[in-house]
Amino acid sequence: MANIIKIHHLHKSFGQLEVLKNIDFHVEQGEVITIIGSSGSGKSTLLRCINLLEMPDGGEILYHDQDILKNGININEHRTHVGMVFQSFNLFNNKNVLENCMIGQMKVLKRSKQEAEEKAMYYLEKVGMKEFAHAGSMQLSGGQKQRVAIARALCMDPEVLLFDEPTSALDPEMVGGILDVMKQLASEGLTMIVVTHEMAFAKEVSSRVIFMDQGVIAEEGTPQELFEKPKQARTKEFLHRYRSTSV
Amino acid sequence: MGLHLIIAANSTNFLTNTWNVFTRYHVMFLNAIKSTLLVAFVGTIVGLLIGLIIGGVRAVTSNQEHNQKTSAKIINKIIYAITSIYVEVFRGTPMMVQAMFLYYTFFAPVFKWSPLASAMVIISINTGAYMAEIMRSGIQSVDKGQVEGARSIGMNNFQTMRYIVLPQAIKNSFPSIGNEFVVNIKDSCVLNCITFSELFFAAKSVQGSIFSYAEPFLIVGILYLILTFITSRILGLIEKRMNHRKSSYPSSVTTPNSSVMKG
Ligand SMILES: Nc1ncnc2c1ncn2[C@@H]1O[C@H](COP(=O)(O)OP(=O)(O)OP(=O)(O)O)[C@@H](O)[C@H]1O
Ligand SMILES: [Mg+2]
Repeated sequence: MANIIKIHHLHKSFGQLEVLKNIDFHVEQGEVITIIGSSGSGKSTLLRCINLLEMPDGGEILYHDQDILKNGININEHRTHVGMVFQSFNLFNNKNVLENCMIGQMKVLKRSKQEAEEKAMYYLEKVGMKEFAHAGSMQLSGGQKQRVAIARALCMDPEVLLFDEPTSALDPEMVGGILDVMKQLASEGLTMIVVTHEMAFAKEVSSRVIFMDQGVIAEEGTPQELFEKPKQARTKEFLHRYRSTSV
Repeated sequence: MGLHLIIAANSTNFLTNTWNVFTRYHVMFLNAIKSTLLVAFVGTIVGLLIGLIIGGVRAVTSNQEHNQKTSAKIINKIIYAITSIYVEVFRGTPMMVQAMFLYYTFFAPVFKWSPLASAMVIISINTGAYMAEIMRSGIQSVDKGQVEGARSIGMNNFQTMRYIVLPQAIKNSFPSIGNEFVVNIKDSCVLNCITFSELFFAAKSVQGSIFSYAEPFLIVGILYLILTFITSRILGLIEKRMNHRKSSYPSSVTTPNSSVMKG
């Protein structure tokens, strides 16, 4: 299988704070990578570097073997290929559900209104939000917002979708529904990179799990390898700490 | 007792006089109302446009992004400094001074502009400086997540501003924008100094013909009050409408569950 994303020697600092220290990994077509790790280990920063919401200080990010950090790369076009779903949803407050899903298609991809609407309705139905197409985005519950945010990202026909703790801001009873949507997308072959604290989800869905600690990838492997027989002491410690604090 | 009677008699007299003055000069007063509303309205709309552009530029250039090139940072600083000069000068000096200086040095002798045209330009530039600050803080009050959401689907800076940030910034700062209109209705009175015949100018002319201050200035006082009162009410209604935007939220539909998802 072809590598969609290859990351070499990625560095990122905020001022004095070195958040990413020499990150290397690759993502193949159709893979679901989950990234776990304690707070502040750099998971979000890594994800945000992949669609250039953060600019790395050094290293390479190859998308289909092309370095997106080189001058002359169209960042906005790159972002249509590598979409993002946020913990805080970030739906457009001034737009209703349908408009949230159409605006990018029309303004960025220059699709016709009719085409954009058809596609938006298709994905809204897929995430179970078709009935809410004309609701204002501020009126939705967290779980509903996240469904719409996923539909909005899918409307751009991305090749890769990045999820940054998509269920962390949700009431517990909403989490399962969002994870089901994500499982469905995974089973349809969408390439996904997911930062999550949902270990059960990570175990069930991931092709590979990456454990980050203090700005480095401390360990990487299949869910079985990482969760059943972690090699590193700090992985063991993290998983142990995690099991003892979560229900 | 006697004193009371005299005052009562005088005040009825005075009110009758005032009414007579108003009816005698009503054409002049009504035309002046039109002029006042015209410059206040034009000044607010053009000022808002100036404010959108300058405020937008200031919001973009004021936050230094860490991933910017040094040359871009320097250009940003220069643009920000220039717009700061505009904002500070026009907010930091009285509009009357601005009007006198600009009208008698440039607008009248060089450009041959009429008092009306000059008044509209001056009040627009002046309001623009205030609007720029209103819009800058309005833009900065929009949640950063809105920008990230827009950038994450590939919108460029301009599209993000145009379709996502500015609509929300305008809505958030609508009370301040409307307030500028009310302020302009009142403060346009200083434009009488460039012989622009708005309400205050009309009162002064009438005072010159009848040799009395009280009646004409009571009249324009009441007229200003009526204008600002009605304007505030209308703005309040618009604001209410904006906050209760129509929505067809289906009340019968409960939270969808994942079983809907059988793509
Ligand atoms: N824009 C920023 N400016 C300065 N420091 C930042 C910025 N973004 C993140 N950091 C810092 O970088 C470090 C890594 O942050 P990051 O958000 O990547 O961690 P994380 O692994 O996603 O943590 P969490 O699980 O809490 O989301 C943290 O110490 C954070 O405070
Ligand atoms: Mg994070």
